Amino acid sequence: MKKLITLTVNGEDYELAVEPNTPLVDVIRHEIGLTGTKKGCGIGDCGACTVLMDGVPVFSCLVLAVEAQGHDILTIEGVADGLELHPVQKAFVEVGAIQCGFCTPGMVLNSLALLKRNPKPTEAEIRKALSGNLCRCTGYQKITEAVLTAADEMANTEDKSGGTK
Amino acid sequence: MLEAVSVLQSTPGAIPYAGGTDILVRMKQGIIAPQMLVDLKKVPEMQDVTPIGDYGIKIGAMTTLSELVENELIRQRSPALSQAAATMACEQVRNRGTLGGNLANASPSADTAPALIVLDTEIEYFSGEAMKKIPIADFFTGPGETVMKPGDLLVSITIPDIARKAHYIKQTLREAMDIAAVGVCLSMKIHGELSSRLVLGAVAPTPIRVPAAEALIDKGKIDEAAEEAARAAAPIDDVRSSAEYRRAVIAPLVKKAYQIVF
Repeated sequence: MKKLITLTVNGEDYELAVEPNTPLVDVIRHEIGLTGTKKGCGIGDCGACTVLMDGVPVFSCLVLAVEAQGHDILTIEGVADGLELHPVQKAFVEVGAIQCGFCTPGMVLNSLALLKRNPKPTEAEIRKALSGNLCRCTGYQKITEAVLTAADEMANTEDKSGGTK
Repeated sequence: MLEAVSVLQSTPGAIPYAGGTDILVRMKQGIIAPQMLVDLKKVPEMQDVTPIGDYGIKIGAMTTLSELVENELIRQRSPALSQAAATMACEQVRNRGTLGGNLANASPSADTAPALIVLDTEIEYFSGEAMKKIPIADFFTGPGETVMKPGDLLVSITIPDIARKAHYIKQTLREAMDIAAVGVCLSMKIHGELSSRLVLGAVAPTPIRVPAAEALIDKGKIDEAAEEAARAAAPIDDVRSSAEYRRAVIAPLVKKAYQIVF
């Protein structure tokens, strides 16, 4: 029997009728139509389906849609500010951290959460934080560089905006 | 909690559901097909982390693995538990997976189990019509099996008010997203006699304490204790390691843990 739920995705409320055993990733992709969230393995091994739930990265294949009610969900479509890419997205493009691109949405979202709780991560901390996100093009070196670049860029922006002490 | 228990007891095919990081995988793989998942994440009795005396702590079963890593009280009072949780899976799984889920699934390699056994932790679970309290060392009965019966509910764990220093070593073949090939956890009392506790994970059907090795450690005979621990193990061959490898690394890991804790 389908359940009526309201999901908050990228600040928008969606009223949906879903089976109780449907994973969040399937609702995001097929019901809401936001296909930036990728579905790789479906069993929590690859990280492609990573979204932020109340700012915290989770595998959307291992969260049921009914469990996500009442939480703020951020997918890759909600990261940019209009046409202005987020510094993490810009860094991924500029450094060349995107090859086939399938892992990129999950990598970017997990990196966002990392930089929020640790704005100046070391390379080792980045690799540990992103260990749940696989890149089968094995572009890890560039991805790590992109996160370091984004951290610098975000720190600079903060210095400028808050620099009149 | 009583509402969850009554649904679990009265509904055929209903199982308790916490973080979902194991149950959903097993459902998708067709290993289990529950008729109903009873979500415990908001059950009040299963939430809180509360101090007991100077050193003890009570932890609700729904505490996430990330919370075990980050919670200040847990970090101060049972750092080995925080350290063990930090070795598990990845950020995304730790944000959903729970302490209660890790214990109730009763994997022989469960990382939180050795860290709790060496602290003489007790498990509180609801069974039938009443709460029961048992030492966690008596909780596991086999791979995936505990003393709990269908309809029972793991509610909380209590680490007693005794100062112990502990350290957990997880031997893995990969640096991340891996399950322990061997786990070694050692604790010693900080005041009075050592009264050490040594637990091995992933080398027997359940995590095991090695009392003979503990007695040797208390006498300062660490080399003999390490050999004794290796003898006590009953490891298997699997994708992660051979039984031979597992047996071979136990003694050095016990010595390493001793150097760190002593």
